[in-house]
Amino acid sequence: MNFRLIHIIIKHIIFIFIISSLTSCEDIIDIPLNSSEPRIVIEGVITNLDGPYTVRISESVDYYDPGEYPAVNNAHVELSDDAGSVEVLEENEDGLYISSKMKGQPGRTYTLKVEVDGKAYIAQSYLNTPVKIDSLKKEYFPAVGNRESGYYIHCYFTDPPEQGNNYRLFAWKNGEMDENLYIMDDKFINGQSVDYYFFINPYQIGDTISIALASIDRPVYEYYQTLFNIVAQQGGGNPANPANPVSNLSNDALGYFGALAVDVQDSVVK
Amino acid sequence: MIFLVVSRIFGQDQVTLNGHILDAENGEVLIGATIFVDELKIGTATNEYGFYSITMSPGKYHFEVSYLGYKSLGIEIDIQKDIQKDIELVTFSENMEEVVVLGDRGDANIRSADVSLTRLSIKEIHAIPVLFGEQDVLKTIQLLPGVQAAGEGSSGYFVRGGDAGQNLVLLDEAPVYNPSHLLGFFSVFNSDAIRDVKLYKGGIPAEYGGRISSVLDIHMKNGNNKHWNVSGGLGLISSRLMIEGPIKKETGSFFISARRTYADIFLNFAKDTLIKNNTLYFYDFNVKANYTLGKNDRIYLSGYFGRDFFLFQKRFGIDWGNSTATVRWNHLFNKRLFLNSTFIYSNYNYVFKIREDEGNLDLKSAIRDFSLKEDFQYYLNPDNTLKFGAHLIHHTYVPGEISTEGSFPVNEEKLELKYALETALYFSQKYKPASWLNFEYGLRFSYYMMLGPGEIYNLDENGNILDSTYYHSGEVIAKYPGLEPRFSVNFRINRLQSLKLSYNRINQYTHLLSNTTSGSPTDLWVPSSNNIKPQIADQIVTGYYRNFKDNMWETSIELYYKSMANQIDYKNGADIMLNELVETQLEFGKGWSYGMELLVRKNSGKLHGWVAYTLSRSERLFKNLNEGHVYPSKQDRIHDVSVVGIYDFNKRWSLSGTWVYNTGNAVTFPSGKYQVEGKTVNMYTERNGYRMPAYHRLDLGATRTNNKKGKFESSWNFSIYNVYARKNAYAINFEQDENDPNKTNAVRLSLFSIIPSVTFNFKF
Repeated sequence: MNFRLIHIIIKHIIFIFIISSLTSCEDIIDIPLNSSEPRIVIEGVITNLDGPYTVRISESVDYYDPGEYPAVNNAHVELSDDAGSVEVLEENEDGLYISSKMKGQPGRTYTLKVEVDGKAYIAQSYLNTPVKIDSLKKEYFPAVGNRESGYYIHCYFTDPPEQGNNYRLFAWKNGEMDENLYIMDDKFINGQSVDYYFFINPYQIGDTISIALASIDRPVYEYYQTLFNIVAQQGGGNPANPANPVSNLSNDALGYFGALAVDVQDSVVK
Repeated sequence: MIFLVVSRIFGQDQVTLNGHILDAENGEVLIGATIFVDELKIGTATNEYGFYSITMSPGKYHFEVSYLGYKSLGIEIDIQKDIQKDIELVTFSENMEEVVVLGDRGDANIRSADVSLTRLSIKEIHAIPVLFGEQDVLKTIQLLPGVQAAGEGSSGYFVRGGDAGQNLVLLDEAPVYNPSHLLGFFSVFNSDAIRDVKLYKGGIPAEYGGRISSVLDIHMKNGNNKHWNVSGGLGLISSRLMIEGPIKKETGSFFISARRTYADIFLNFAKDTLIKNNTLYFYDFNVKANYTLGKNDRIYLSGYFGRDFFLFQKRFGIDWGNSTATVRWNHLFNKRLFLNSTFIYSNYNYVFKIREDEGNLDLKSAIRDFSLKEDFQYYLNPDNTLKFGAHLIHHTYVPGEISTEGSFPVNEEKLELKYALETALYFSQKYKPASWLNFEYGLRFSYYMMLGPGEIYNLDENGNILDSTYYHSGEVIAKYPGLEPRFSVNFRINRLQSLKLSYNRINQYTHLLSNTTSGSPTDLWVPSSNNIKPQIADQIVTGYYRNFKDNMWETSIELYYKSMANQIDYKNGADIMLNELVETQLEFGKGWSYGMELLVRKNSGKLHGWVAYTLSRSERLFKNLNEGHVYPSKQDRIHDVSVVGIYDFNKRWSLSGTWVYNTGNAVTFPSGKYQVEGKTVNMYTERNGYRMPAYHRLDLGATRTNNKKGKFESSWNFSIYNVYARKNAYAINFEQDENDPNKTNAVRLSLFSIIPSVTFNFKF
């Protein structure tokens, strides 16, 4: 946990340092960009909680096109586990395919297969045993510099003794999800008690809090990490050499398929 | 070759004239000054310590001693036995701003076997355009063909398609890891303290090793050993002061110089209040002392210490800096054998700081070197100089160390240190068998070892960990021998033209990993190991040199091809911060670059300066990047133009101007976009498939020399950076429109608009 926090703070420092400390100026300019063949984007998640589970399929567009991403209809979407169950997902809304029968069982490996226009995109993800949240605590900080005053949440959990646990944490405030990506692995905290500190968004008295701790496999962790790298840059972060996130889907599909083993705790700030 | 050398030794009785060539006013040694025997048509030049040695048959001769910016001196000497003689030269003008750079260096570019070497003597450095009141060595070399600034606000430079970590920078023999202050605006070299600068872009001689693209060898002054001097400058952006004087008249001297910026002034030009509450400055010190112990011995002590500070809103900050300490001893074994022994300590580190009410945290990374060098020069005769020696460097790498104060919720941690030993033996000969032919050949044998203690991981070719082994202190983890031949030849067509050719191979054992497009002080230096092989470069250069009008005009065209093996880059989406196992995040491949450099230079007259044009390509091929296809490296900058002009209007006023133009870096831009979790994500296709917009900028300066009042000399310098305020793109970000979330834009970030500056320079 320690290193992850430092890591994020330092990424912020570098960004702030390079960009905003100087007599810089920003303006929109015209840079012609190439067109590209639309690529398929598949976002699929299965958890240990009750379904339905969703798979969203869309396409990429050219960069300067308006932000409407065409949904992909009439895809054949199949979710299966390593115990022989198979379910074909029905298209519910435009581009959104949902399950009805399947329930994620920890210990199973799930496979997502999407067939569109004669091409198949396949990914596998292992559903871990969920790691439980021990407790949530809130800590008050007054306003300092840019940071607002309010309650910041600590999430306590214990990392299992085997090496190789990867996590994504989610936070909701009054039902709205915190957009930041919170991920970590057990490289430096294996087997220890962890204090995950949500230091970005404060809560105020009366807010409802929902925190979810999701255990994920390594390919999904790497997807989130490499996705974060690009999205952070888009906000003007460290100008490094960007590349598409590392996906567990085959055949050059963008997006990913993840099996998330989740434990959720709710609370209210009093 | 050895045979030819040996046959000369047993020639008839020869006598040797040796000694130092010095500046008459302050006793400083003159590096590269020439002494020429008219009757015999032989000559030699002084080395980095001002030492010369010339051997001839006994007789009475006229010796012509000359050096750029100084009055030539003719001496009659009847030499019947070995003579030791120090010779003093007088500068051309008494003014502080020596602006006339004469063609006395004249045909050095035609005569010597040095290829791709640019030399800036003290006079030339003071004749270059001034920026922010200072004449900056790093800024000047970036105006030469083949050398490119890494970018605005950046701390590096690229030479012939190589990256910023492939340049060796030496300050009085000590390597400097980060030669820039303030994101590249100033170099760590206080130009008041510099005596001589040499830049090798190719044809690197055997006495240098360890970096494959270039060598920037800087020698500091020794200090006036005749009388005291104080000089300095007070400016809007920075100020500097130098005090020099004799320890014992004409025997020993010292100098101390210091410099500090208060560049936070920049920040006040910003509109954003978020910017005002920041601290941004640097300071540096240079200290040097030397003492002549006798006819054959001279000892030097030098030190450099500098640091940059940045603190944002008093809460987050970075500071970084180099420190070096060097002890050198020149010893003359006999009239012809000169030895320089050097012992060096060098430390480069940077620290991230977090300052909260609850406590403080420092995260430090460093690289510490101890090094020993023995360099011999044997002046066999005027046509034959031998150089040989041994170098040894012990490196300690501190990849990351956290220390905390107060109740900070983080434990103190330390990533494991790494150790390495880099050694080399070299031999080279400069030989001139005929008046139209001279060449230099040499061999450097380098041997590198990575040493324990440490837990070492073996990785497969994709960077996955296979297993690990623990090594004890001193155990060899990896070793790499290297054989580095060096060769250059000069075919002198006539007094005004020559054709040159050179080949060198160099190994590099310490690597700079950078994840930013333009370099930052937080780039990481890593050693070669069981997983990282040394970089190796082979470079061939050919050039044609032609002077006109009695050396007033110098022109040259050089073509080069450089092939680089074992190049390193980060994996896509690499996790680099505080990564104990940073080696798992690397990819390896090869690179090559080639180009043509044109230079036209006017060396004398009221108007002087140069025009440089470089046409070049630099490409990379990595199995796991860009899907295994060739892609341009970020420093692939096709066209690069520099125009430098200095006009000495009259004794009082001098004007200077610089215009630079280059096509943009190769860069990766999105070719589309898509949505994940409701967020717009940029989509990328090929790596470095786009170019940044072209960069160009005009700087102007004017210097007014005031009347000399007794011993007090002064001048005013006015300069303007980026005169037509072009918004050169530092970065281009692709992001959602602030007002319309459906729209995505290309947003250009430019750093520096027009920046004026005034400096008052003085000397007494």
